[in-house]
Formats: sequence, C-alpha cells, structure tokens
Amino acid sequence: MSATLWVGVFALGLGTWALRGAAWLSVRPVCTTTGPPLGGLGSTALMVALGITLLRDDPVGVAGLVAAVGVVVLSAATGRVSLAVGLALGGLWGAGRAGWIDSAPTEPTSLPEAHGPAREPAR
Amino acid sequence: MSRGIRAGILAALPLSPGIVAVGAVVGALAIRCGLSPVESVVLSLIVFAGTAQIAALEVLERGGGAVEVVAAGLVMSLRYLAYGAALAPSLGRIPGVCRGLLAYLLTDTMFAVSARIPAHLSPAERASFAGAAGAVAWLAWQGGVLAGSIAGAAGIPPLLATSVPLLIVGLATARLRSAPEVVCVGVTAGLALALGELPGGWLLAAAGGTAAGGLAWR
Repeated sequence: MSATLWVGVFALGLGTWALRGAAWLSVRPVCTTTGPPLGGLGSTALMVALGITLLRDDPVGVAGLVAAVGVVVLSAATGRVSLAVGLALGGLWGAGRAGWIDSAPTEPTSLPEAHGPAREPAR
Repeated sequence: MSRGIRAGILAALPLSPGIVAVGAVVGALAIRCGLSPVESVVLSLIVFAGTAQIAALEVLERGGGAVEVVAAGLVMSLRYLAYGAALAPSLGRIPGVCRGLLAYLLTDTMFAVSARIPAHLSPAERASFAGAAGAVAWLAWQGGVLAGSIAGAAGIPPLLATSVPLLIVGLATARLRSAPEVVCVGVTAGLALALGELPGGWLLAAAGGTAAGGLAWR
C-alpha cells in the first residue's frame, strides 16, 4: 500500500476510535436523560440491518435468511450465540450436501453498499 | 484476578471461535486485495473493526483512494456511537486512559457480552468486565486475521463467509427481552429485506426499526 493509503488507514482507525469513545464525552448525557432507550434500540437495529443485508446478498440465498431466523430464535431463547451460529452453519452445510441449496459461497461476503450502487454478490 | 475481569473473560470465551472464523475471512480478503500478511495484520491492529476493515478493503480492491477508504469505513463504524451511548451509563466514571482503551476495544462482541454484565458487580468491576471481554475478542480477532492472512482465500472453508452475518445477527438478538426490542428487530429485518437494493438501504432500515421500537416503548 502507498503512504497515502496508510494515512487513510490511520485516519480510519482514529475516526473509529473517536466514534467509539464519543459516548463517554458528549453523547452520554443526551442518551441517559431523554425518552426511550434509543441507544440500545439503535445499536440492535444497526446490527440486524447489517446482518440481514449481508445475508440478502449471500449466494446461499433464502437458506441464509432461514438460518438467520433460527439463529435469532436460539440466541434469544438461550443466549448461546456460538451454539446458534454453529447449528445454523451445520444446517446450511447439510443442506448444501443434500443439494437443497444452489451453492456455498467461495469468497468473503460483500458488504452492503452504504456508499455507492448495488453490486452483484460475490461468488 | 478481580471478579469483573474473570467474569468478562468467561463471558467472551464461548464467542471466540466465531470471532476467529470471521477474522480469518477478513484476513483472507486482505490477501485477495493485494495486501501482504504483515500489512493485513497492521491494518487490523490500527482499525480493529471488522465491517470497517471489510469496507476499506473493498474500496482498495476497486482502486479507491485514501478518502474513500476513510469514508466507507466510518459509515460502517457509525453504529459504535450508539453502542457507546448504550453501554457508557452502566460503567460509571472511568479514568481517562482506561476510557481510551475501552473505546478501542468496543466491538459488536464486547457490546453484546456487556449487555449481560452480572447485576451484583460494582461500576468499576463492570468496566473491568467490559475491558476483559473486549481483550478476549481482540486476541481472537487478531489471531483470526493473522491465520486468514497466512492461509489466503484458498485456505478458508466456503461457509465461513456466511458466518459473518449470522454472528452479527446472533449477537444483536441474544439479549432480546422486551416487546419494543422485538418490534425493533422485526421492522428492521423487514425493511432491510425491502430496501437492500438501495445505496445505504441498511442504514434506512436501522433508522426505521429504531423509530418503530421507540414508538412501541411509549
């Protein structure tokens, strides 16, 4: 990578750190004194939106969304996220072996485009 | 070892295999984008944010410049603002240096685990809990990135890529308890499916889900 790109990486690291730490500065009083717990709801919504959008574009297709429903139910019921994700991946693997789903992804999942037009999912 | 640190480590350890797996996917992606294993690990140490790292790498792969790398990564990191706001009140007053360190360690995992901090812990022990959980996640993540960087894309089992979104969804919903939270998750998921084609559609979905949850709370 060029020196310019490394400067960009450092800026990204610093910016991310600032976003993480902002709550201990000015945001905290706002979020603790006003109305509903929007901080908690907002963070949950951001994670769910990101995960579902990634799954939506995943080559495993609808099976990935079905697996996500299973993960939600199991995680919420037991609090065991690793177990839920492990079972879901096992189910997807089994479905792939049985030929019920088209194909498994061969590359890292692409992120949703928050900064540009939609692209073809990675295969 | 204090109660808080021990509890934090024990709470985060079960999630470590999943974090290592996702880190390996990101490490492999970095190699595919033309970075060396050393560059991949250094980038991960500086940024330490999975989605921001993936966004930055995708921009790099498309030949984007430094400004685009920063913009794409920061959009992905916006959620940390909400995480911090939700987490900070329960941790009490934290000294400056520790505050900076906790901010660096704040990830999806640390936030999800910290939502289940035992009620009997003092604010200082809660901060220790969060820090210990964050440190475990950090070690797992960097180890995964290193392994993925060495193995390269060819060495990563196919379904590991699908584990990224599944882990994110699982972490978000592991503490679903109240009706407003269920409404929030349901509306967000529906909107994410409907608006996924739009640029920034997932951010709109999150905003809609938060608003719906807020209304249900009232």
